[in-house]
Amino acid sequence: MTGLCIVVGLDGSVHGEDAAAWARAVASRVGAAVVQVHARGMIEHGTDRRAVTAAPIDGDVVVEDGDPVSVLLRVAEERGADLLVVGRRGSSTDPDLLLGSTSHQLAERAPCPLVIIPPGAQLPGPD
Amino acid sequence: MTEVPRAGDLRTSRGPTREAEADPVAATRLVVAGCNPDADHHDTGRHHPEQAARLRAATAGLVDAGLGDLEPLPPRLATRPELARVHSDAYLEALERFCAAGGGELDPDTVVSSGSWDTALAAAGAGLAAVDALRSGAGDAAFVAARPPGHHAVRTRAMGFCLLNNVAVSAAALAAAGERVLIVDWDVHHGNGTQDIFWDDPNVAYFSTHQSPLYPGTGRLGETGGPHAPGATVNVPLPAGASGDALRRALGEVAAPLVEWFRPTWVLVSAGFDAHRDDPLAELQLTAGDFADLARLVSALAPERGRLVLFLEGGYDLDALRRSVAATLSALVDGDHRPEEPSSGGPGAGVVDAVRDLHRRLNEERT
Repeated sequence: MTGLCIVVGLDGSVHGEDAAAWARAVASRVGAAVVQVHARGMIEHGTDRRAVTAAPIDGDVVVEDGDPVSVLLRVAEERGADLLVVGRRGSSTDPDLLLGSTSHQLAERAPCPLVIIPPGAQLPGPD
Repeated sequence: MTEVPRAGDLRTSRGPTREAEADPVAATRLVVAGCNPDADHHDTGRHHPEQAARLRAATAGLVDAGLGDLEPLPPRLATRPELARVHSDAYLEALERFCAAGGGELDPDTVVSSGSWDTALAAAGAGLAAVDALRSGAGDAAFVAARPPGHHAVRTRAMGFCLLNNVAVSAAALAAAGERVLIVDWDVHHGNGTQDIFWDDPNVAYFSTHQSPLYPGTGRLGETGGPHAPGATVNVPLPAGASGDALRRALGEVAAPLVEWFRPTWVLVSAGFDAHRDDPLAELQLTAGDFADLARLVSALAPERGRLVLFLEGGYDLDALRRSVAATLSALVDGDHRPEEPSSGGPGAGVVDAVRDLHRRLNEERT
């Protein structure tokens, strides 16, 4: 791939969709391709792969069985990602924050720059 | 669904099998730990596949194997220093706090309740109790039937139904006492937590057969250990549809040479039963008869009697779990309870060849 590539994690939640919306908005401004990645968990294995988000998805979607950290790192590496984008849940009682989040692990291991989208983040402006 | 006897019925539901009665002196003496569904307070909700009924099914398998009269070891909780060998203090404190606050979802797969912390301590403790019992000469092999399972839990995080890495806690305790430990993991999912914890540890080897691709996405053939432990991590990533043949060959042709150079003094087994063909979470094709074969093969890897502990990991079809546990334990005590014939054929032979050849080369480089 010659152009820029943004890999974004979908986790079936609104936070993943916020991250994907941000990634698409940035991609359209810089002419990058977006790869949307969903890691299917143990229970979810075998379920319909179309059911990965509530909203309809267009573009390049990768659905793989695995832990989000392993799957995102692998896809980022395979696609030669220039940017990795993930959402973050927000509340202080969130076990993600208490017990070591996906974004925290990615920050330590990502092969490229990482953007973490907090809840309620604004999309990048028109100019 | 199979009618599953409760723990209290164990003594009376069935007697020992004829072969166990015939020659009890020469038979392998099995120690069992955990096996106490009544003390299980890890509530994952009604529809979760990793549920308390699994422990009742596993315990029923013990009865089916003619071992229902075995008294489980007295329960004991793993201590903080024992857990701290494999988990960070920050994680242990956060998990305890989160459970005490009532629990909730840790990730889409992993749920805890207020009783999960104590149940997890008891599961990790059951493994330690089994190790201690064997060290004191109380038996020739041990089976730990406890939940939640452990092999996905990493140093700093719960995942994939797992809170504390039970097999790792026991392996680390043995390693701290100067032992060399081989962990064989035949659960259908790769034990990423166990692999991570011992990745660069020259005293603990990790050998895993698992379906790939599948959760958690790790366990590729090229993952072979850190710079201080080259070749001490062995992964056999099998395609969906692989049968017992692939696992038998992997143990015979890959694990056996690993034992020759690594020379473990103990063998611990992450014995998940979700590679069974009826399991809802994966697509390998094993039967109860295959697990009996695997039990015999891992027994042969242990350096002597009294150095083999099997830990229950996954297995989510209750009937298949019951049959598989029964066949496994019967094989361990030289019985012949095989409710299903072994499977054969299917894909995966090429993977076993590739892993064998890769590790043969690594072994040559090491020597």
